[in-house]
Amino acid sequence: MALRRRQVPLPLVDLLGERKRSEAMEEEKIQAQPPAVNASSMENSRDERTPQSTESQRLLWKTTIVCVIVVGTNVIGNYALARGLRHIGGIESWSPVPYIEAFVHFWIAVGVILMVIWLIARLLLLSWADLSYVLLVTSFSYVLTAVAGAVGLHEVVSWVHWLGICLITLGVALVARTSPHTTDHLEYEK
Amino acid sequence: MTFLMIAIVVIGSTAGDVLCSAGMKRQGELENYSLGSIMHMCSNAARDPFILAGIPAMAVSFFALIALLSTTALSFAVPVSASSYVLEVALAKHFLKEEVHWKRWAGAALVTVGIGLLFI
Repeated sequence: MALRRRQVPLPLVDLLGERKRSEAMEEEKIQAQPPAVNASSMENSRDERTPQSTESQRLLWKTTIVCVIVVGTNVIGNYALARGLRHIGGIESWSPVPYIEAFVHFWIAVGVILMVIWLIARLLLLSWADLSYVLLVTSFSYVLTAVAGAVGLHEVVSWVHWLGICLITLGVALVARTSPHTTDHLEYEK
Repeated sequence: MTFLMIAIVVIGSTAGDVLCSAGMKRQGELENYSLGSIMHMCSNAARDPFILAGIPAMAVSFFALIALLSTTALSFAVPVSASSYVLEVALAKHFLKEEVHWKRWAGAALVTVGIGLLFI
């Protein structure tokens, strides 16, 4: 039996008038489901475990790979931007011209390209994973950014900073143990 | 100027994240990861009203972050922009109807405190 997703309409989507249509379709699907539970359906449910488990594994691998890309591009992008901005000096202006001029600098150009890749990868991730999952798991980039600041830019990282780094890592580890996808009520096994 | 930039970074990223997440959920999960498929998804996403509203909010947040990076240390500017985590998790639960497990709340609290320590 194919894996069936139960789409839960987003409240924000209501603004476009799509919620009622989705609910009507959902009701039709539920009514079309056979209610009987017999021996053959129990056999089928045993067969369902394999595709669902495979789907869970596929989702976890995909989520992990894209999370690594999001974190990596964010850390290296921020490092490149900071290094470039140190070369050109501070910008404190409401005019966009100095910011656009800064893009011709090598490190800033590298930083901007990486941040564009970061944005696309993050949007891809948000197409299936929860915002509350993506936000917290990718916050590991702050740990790597602080380490990059200490190692590459020789910024001071005190023991309080290291404590902060440990707490962030613990928080990320906790969140990473939850399912990345909850809005369609599918249970993904870890 | 620094605190104004921090406020712009936080508000812009919060609004941008919630709007983009809502927009991308409407687009659906990408099954084929060829360059053409990704470009096709990007072009569809570029026509989504939520993403059209979310990207400018994130862009404003990004430029404010650049301005912040030019005047403050990297280890200060980047972590401080994440001070909106608990707010974003609450908005994800309320507006996007995500099931926020206690582990996520605990994770959000730990990350926020950790970022606060990096801020010191």
